[in-house]
Amino acid sequence: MTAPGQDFDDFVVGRSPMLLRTAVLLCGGDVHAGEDLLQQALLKVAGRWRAASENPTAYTRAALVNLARDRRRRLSRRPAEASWIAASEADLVADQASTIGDDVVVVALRELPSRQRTAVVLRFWEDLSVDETAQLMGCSTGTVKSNTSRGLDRLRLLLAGSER
Amino acid sequence: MSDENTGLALREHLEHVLAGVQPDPMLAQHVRSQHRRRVRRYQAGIATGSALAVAGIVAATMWIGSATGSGTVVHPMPLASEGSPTPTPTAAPSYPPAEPQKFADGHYPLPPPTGEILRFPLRSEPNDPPGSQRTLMVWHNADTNDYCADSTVQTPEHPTGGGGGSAGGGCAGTTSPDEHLLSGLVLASPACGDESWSFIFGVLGRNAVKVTAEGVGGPDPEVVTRRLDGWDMSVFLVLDAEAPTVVFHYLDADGHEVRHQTQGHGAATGNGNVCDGPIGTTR
Repeated sequence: MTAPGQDFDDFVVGRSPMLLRTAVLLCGGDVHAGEDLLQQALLKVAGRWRAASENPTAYTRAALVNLARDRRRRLSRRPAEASWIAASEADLVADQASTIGDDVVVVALRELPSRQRTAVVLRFWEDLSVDETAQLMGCSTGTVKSNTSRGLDRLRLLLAGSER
Repeated sequence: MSDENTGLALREHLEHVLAGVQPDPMLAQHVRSQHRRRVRRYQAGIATGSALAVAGIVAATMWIGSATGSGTVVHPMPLASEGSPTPTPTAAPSYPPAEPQKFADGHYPLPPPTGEILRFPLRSEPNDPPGSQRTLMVWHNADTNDYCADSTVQTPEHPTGGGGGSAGGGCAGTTSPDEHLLSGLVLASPACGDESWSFIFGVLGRNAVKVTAEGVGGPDPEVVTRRLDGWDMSVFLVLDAEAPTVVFHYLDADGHEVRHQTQGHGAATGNGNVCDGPIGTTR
């Protein structure tokens, strides 16, 4: 393992805002989870900087998608617990922590099944092609198309419901 | 509206919503320091492995040498029945650990500056082995003037703790001392439970008023906070969350409530014996 140099710092400074927003969207609008996800992804990139430096953005994006998938799996195994924070206090805290969590589109995006959310984020936020998205998600182009289409249909439905 | 148009509208809206989301300006430095720690651990692992391998080779050589030299196999350690001195048993730590003594005002003591380790029993987790005891250890590092913490799981079979995975190690973190507040986060994963769980221990001063947590309980409603059963406020906080922000409210010298926020970046990963994030960073 070699230590990443100044070029790594330049990459992080230059690209991390966009990558963080992708991470936040992959985490359903959770800013803190997104920050954590990005840091983990960058750590992976730093560990393989020699190989990753050819296209660090693509490398980091792939790490983000994989880590977001792992995170969802971990969370699905975690048993539910009750909070000791009073509901009103928790709401206050949540408001302070994140303002984007209340956005109707972000809320609707969060409601999507994970693969649909990932497909929509990669296709329309990251502006990747169907082929590139399929490669990142490890599935066929047909699956990407169907996930994207269903995700958008679901988003329209959810947003129409929230407008009523 | 076609899918493409919907996608474009979605992107436009999200760009507006996410405009304020900015990464930590120190992110690159955090990642580099994490990377350095990881490299050091990796190198330390190699050194330990090499030492063990050399020790193993030496022991095997001595064994073979003694066997071939006398023509009979000789046990490297004489058996007790042959009149050898009985080895002195080492003192095993008490099990379960003794209940820590509270101060008169109901607060638990903070570690003394002598380096003595204070042990605090924690509530068991659902997947802990029957009869096990989860313990939080906190001590003061005089060299760095930090408070450190670690966790362990003791079982009747393994009263010294440990027993695989991260139980013995978990991962230690340090806190930043403050006049009124000793705050810090330690991430550790219990060995016997789900490896993805993270514990966050906040060590608080005696002027603490309350503790809240941010970044949890939102989009993942199962990720929530809780307090230890039967523990007084303002001693330790345990969360099951991956990267929460913990907010400590405490009273300053004038009796005003002060809000102090600290965040643990970087969840425990793998088997839980890694704690990569900059721990106890405050902002």
